[in-house]
Formats: sequence, C-alpha cells, structure tokens
Amino acid sequence: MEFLTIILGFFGGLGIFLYGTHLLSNSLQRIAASKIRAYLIKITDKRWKGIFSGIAATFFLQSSTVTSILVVGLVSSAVLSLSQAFGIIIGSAIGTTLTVQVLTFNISEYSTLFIFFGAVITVFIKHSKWKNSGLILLSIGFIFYGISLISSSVSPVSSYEPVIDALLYVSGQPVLFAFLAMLLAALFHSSAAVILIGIAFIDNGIMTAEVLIPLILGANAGSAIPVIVSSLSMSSEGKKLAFFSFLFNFSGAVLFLIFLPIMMQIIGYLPGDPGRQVAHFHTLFNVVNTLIFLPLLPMVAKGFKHFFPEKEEEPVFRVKLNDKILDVPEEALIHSKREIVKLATLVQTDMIKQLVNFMDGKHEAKELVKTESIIDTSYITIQKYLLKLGQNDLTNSQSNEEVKLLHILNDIEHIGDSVLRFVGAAEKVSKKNIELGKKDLSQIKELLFYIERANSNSLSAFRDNDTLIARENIQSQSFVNQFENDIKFEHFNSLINKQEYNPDISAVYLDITNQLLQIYKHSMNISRTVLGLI
Amino acid sequence: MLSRENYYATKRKEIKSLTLSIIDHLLNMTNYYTDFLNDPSDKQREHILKAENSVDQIERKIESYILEIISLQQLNMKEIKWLFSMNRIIRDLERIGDQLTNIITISEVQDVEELKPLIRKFFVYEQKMMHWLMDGMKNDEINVLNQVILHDQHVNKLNKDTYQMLVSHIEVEKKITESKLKMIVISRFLERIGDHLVNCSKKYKETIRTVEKEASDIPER
Repeated sequence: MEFLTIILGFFGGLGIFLYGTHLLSNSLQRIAASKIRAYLIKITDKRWKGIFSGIAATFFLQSSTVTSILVVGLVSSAVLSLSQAFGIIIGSAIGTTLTVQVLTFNISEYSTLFIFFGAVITVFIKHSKWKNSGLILLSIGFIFYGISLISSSVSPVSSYEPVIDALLYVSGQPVLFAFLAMLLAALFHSSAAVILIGIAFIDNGIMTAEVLIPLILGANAGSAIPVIVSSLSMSSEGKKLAFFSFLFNFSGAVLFLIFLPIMMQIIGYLPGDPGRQVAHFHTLFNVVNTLIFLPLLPMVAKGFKHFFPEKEEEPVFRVKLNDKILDVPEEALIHSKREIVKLATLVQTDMIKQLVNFMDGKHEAKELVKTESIIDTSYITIQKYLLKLGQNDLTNSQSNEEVKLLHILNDIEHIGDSVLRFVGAAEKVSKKNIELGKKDLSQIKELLFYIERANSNSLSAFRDNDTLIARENIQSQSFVNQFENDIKFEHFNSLINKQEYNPDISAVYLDITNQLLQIYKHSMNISRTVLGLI
Repeated sequence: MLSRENYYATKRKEIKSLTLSIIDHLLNMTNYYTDFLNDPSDKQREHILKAENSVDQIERKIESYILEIISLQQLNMKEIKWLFSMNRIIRDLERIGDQLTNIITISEVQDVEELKPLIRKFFVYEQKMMHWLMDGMKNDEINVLNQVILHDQHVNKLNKDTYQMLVSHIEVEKKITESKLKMIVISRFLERIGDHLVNCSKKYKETIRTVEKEASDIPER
C-alpha cells in the first residue's frame, strides 16, 4: 500500500512539475516571444553575442524548444546565418542549466503561496495582462510543489532494499545510467525534470553527487531528442539546428563520460551542498562544452551545409507550414504571414500581371486555371493552419493579427476566383463572335493597369505592414469608382453612336469590367485590413 | 448621345447654391434692419426674425445633405475637405444671422435715432463684404474673397472708434446711459459679423487652393 502511495506521489509530483514548466513557458511566451525574437535579430551579430542571447532567450522563455523554434524561423527567413543560429542553440543549452540552478533553491515551502496568489489573480482578475502574471505565479507554484512532492515521495524509497539495489546497480553502470537518463529526458521533454529527480535521490541519501554525473550528461543529451523528432517535419534549417543541438549535447556527454573519474573528482570541489553541486556541474558541463564548440562553429556549419545540401526551389508553389510551430503562436503567425505573402505574390505575378497578355492572346487561359487551382489548395491549407492556431490561447494582439491574416487570405482566394470569372467572360467574346470597340478594349486595359497598381500597393502594404501605402491606396479608390462610371457611360454612348443593338456586347463588356472591379475590390480590402478596418 | 447627372455633383451644386442663398438672406436682414431704423415697428422686426429662421432652416438642410453625401459616396480628400469647409462656412453664416437677431432684440424704439448713424456705417462696409463673399464663392475667385478679408480692417476700426467715442463721452459726462451701453454691445455684435465674413472667405479660399493644388492628383499611367 505504501509502495503505491510512493508511486502515486512520485508521478503526481512529476506531472505537476511538468505541467508547471509547460504553463510557465507558455505564459512567458505570451509576454515575451515577440520581444525576444526582435532581440535575437538585433543582438546576434557576433558568435559570442549569439551565445548570450541564447542563454537569455531560453531563461526568459523557460524553454529551449521555443528558442529553437524562433531561431529556425529566423534562419528560414535568412535573418540569421546558420553559424549565428548555432551560437544561439549552444547558448540555449546554458540557459537551461540556469533553470536547474533556480529550481535547486529550496523554496518549495512557499509554493502553496504562489499557487494561492496565482489562482486568485487568474480566477478573479479579468485583465489579460494580470491574468498572465497570475498564470506565471501559478506555474512557479506548481513547479516547486511538484519538486517537493517528488522529493517527499522518494524519501521512503531509501528503506526499500530491492529498489535501492536496482538503483545502485544502474548507477554503477555509467553508460547504462546515462542512456536511461537520456530516454527519460526525451520522454518528459525535460532534462530539468530528470536532474531534479536525481537531486531528490541525493537529498534522501540514496545517491551521491559523484554517482549522478552520468544522469546529468544523459539527461542533457536526451532533451535534444524531442527536438530532432519534431524537426523531421520541419524545413531543412529546422533539421540542421535540431541535429546540431543533439550533436552538441551528445558529443559533450561522450567526452565527459570518457573522463568520468576526473569529473567525479571535480564535482566534489564545486561549492554548496550535493544538490547544488549537481546544478553547478550541469552548468559547468554546458559552459565547457560551449568553449570547446565555439571555435569550431564555422567548420561545423560548413559540414552541415555539406551533409544537408540546399534543396533547389520547387517549381510548383507549395505551402510550407509546420504544426509543431503552433505551440509558439507568435512564430506561427509570422510563418503564416510569410506563406500568405508568397501566395499573394503568386496571384500578382501569375494571374493579375498576365491578364493583359491573356487579352492579347499571349497567355493561355489554362495557365490561369492551373494557378487558381494552386491558390485554392494553398488557401485551404493556410486557413486550416490558422484555424488550428486560433484554438490556442492567443493574446489580444495575436488574435487581432490572426483575424487580419484570415481576411487577407480570403481576399486573395477571391481574387483568384474573379480572375477565372474574368477569363470566362472574356472567352465569350470569341465564342459569341462579339467585336468589342477599340475604345472599350483600351479602357479595359487602363482599368487593368489601375487594378495591377492597387494590388501591388496592397501587397507591399501587407508585406511591410506599411499603413501609409495602405492609406494612400484606399484614398485613390474614388478615382477608380468614377473611372468605372465613366467607362460604362462611354460604352453605352459608343453603342448608341454605332447604332448597335446587340445586347450580348454590353452583357459581355459589363461582365468583364465587373469581374475586374471585383479583383480591384478585394485588392482594396487587403489595404483596409492592413489599416485595421476589419 | 446620352447625358448623365451625378447625384453627388447635383447635391454639391445644391449645397453651394443654398449657401449663397443664406448670404442673400443675411443681406436682406441688413436691409430689413435699415428699414427698421427708419420705421421702428414690430412688423419690420418680424421680417428680420423670419429671415433668420430661414437661415437656420437652410443651414440644417445643408448639414443633412453633407451627412447624406458622406454616408453614400466614397469621396476623395479634396471633396471631403470641400464639404467640411462648407459645413464651417454655414456655421459662420448662421452666427451672423444670430448676431443680427441679437441686435434687433436689444434695439428699442427710443434708441433708434442714436443707433442709426453707427449701424449705417457698419452696414455700408459689411454689405459690401457680403456681396464680395457671394461673388467670390459663386465664381471661385480668390481676389474677390481677399477683398472681404482686407475690408475687415475698416469694420474693426469702426468698432474701436465707437469704444473711444464712448470713453470720451463717459469722461465728460461722468456717467453712462443705457443707450450708450447698448451701443457698445451692438458695436461688438457688428464687429463679430465682420469676423464671421472673414472666416467664411478664408475657408472658401482654402477649398479653391486645394482644388488647384490637387488638380494634378489624378492618377497617371
């Protein structure tokens, strides 16, 4: 019965701890992800600066995974080089050790206070900023409460001979011990959890700090495994960074295991109680590993470029969005915007700009149909992704950004549809043997010019978030509205002048202009959305 | 050949013509007041009040037109500026109507003889200013509108002279009568009329300048 209580207490504590770290990372991310992203871009111009920004980012976000997702995004958009990104990744490994340092402070007895105040703020205060602060307090409380539960449930284990024997056997086999720690860290997605369990064993006199070294090394390497698994569906930059992270941790662990007897002596010289010595050793390992890797970074980056060659740009447009990034809404929104900009550019270059060529018989309708089909498929993919993202707990500004993206995506899809309807209407000219007047044709081309310009301005406004361009674009709308009235008026007058009574001519002409005006309207909607007129 | 009539263009014309009709009403009010000075009766007073009522009604009508147009049609900045300026102009014109009503309200039959020379002098200048404002607006002529603005100095001088004359009078007589007090108030009202006319001219001048400045704003290929 007591054994069951130990097991339940242990897993309950571990669960609370893991949930606390997850909650803390999410809450910090809501506040800081966009700021840290901007900071990473600004600060990481030198390798050593990259390391410091990696330490800071991981400590403030409380997650090396979130840091690596932000870095993957920056490398993919060519804001950071691979070598700079590697610097941040090894910095993030040191950042994780700071978390363990903080967690080894014995403040578990105050954990319930954190939980109480956190719960009060979360439940009773409606303001989102305060709510988030409440969640941070609550998560800190959960983390320390989880640690205290793990520690107290491990305590009776010291009187169980078979468990002690098993633990002694495992700890006597350093490679096996490191391997098991690696598996557990991969399973919990947290090296800190495994190291803190180890410290609980030390606190209860089951193990010593020296014996725990393989566990520290294994846990450190294991925390990179989930990143590798999730990178399999990522871009090549994501894969490179994930493999680098594992290589960094794993090779360091192997190196330290080779010199294990020396390490066992060194840990004894570190200050503090055995628990603190473990935390210090964890930091020391990552700092030394960093110092070894730092001069090698350009070489390693070269090697990675060799082993992961750049894929040639695919000839067919394809949406590249990764579900793993949904956990970091800030980054997911940036990725979604990037894909929507790509889609809007495709609409502009392969559809709108080809309409004059199409009218002159230099571009085939089937090409436009093909592009429209790509737009439809991409629209569905991006919309699904955004809707999934919307199910996350977004901040107000993230939610606002998502609404804007959904609006713009919808307008882009409608532009594609209108282009096809325009093609259908234009094809009626030859099918019904209709001859449009020279002036009508030149006015359609003039209207096309205004549409192309409006669309191009909207795209620039959206891509660069340039409200000035958006505003000027919208303000020019009254001119096109009047131009629409003028060309229709002149069309009717030209029919009367020619004494033409065929109603098909007007029907086709007006259908063509109406479809073009639909394209114009949706292009304008994009500018409106950029301004926040939603 | 077909011809067409644009709703906005029609309403715009109507707004301008209604605004000009307000100035016309105001001119009539000054004439009615001159008649009142010659024949101070309730009937004459009634004319002025009726004209003021018409000014108010037209002002409200223009205001509703402006709101209606803004809600119906997407306008360019130049047109929006024009509408806003007209809105400001009719406010100023309506205030002139109020000032004239105030003057007639405080003018008693027994004061008429004393007020007559003062008011006539003001009206000579202000009626000219009203005519210029009307012509300047009708033909979009900046030079004519400038005359309104320049002429205001005469109105201001008249007001200042009235004050000085009254101060000298008080120094000699060592007292101030009710009719003299009314003279100060009326002089101030008449001076304000000049200011409102200047505001209208300045505002309308701006709209003409905007048109000239933004004539090149038509998007070019």
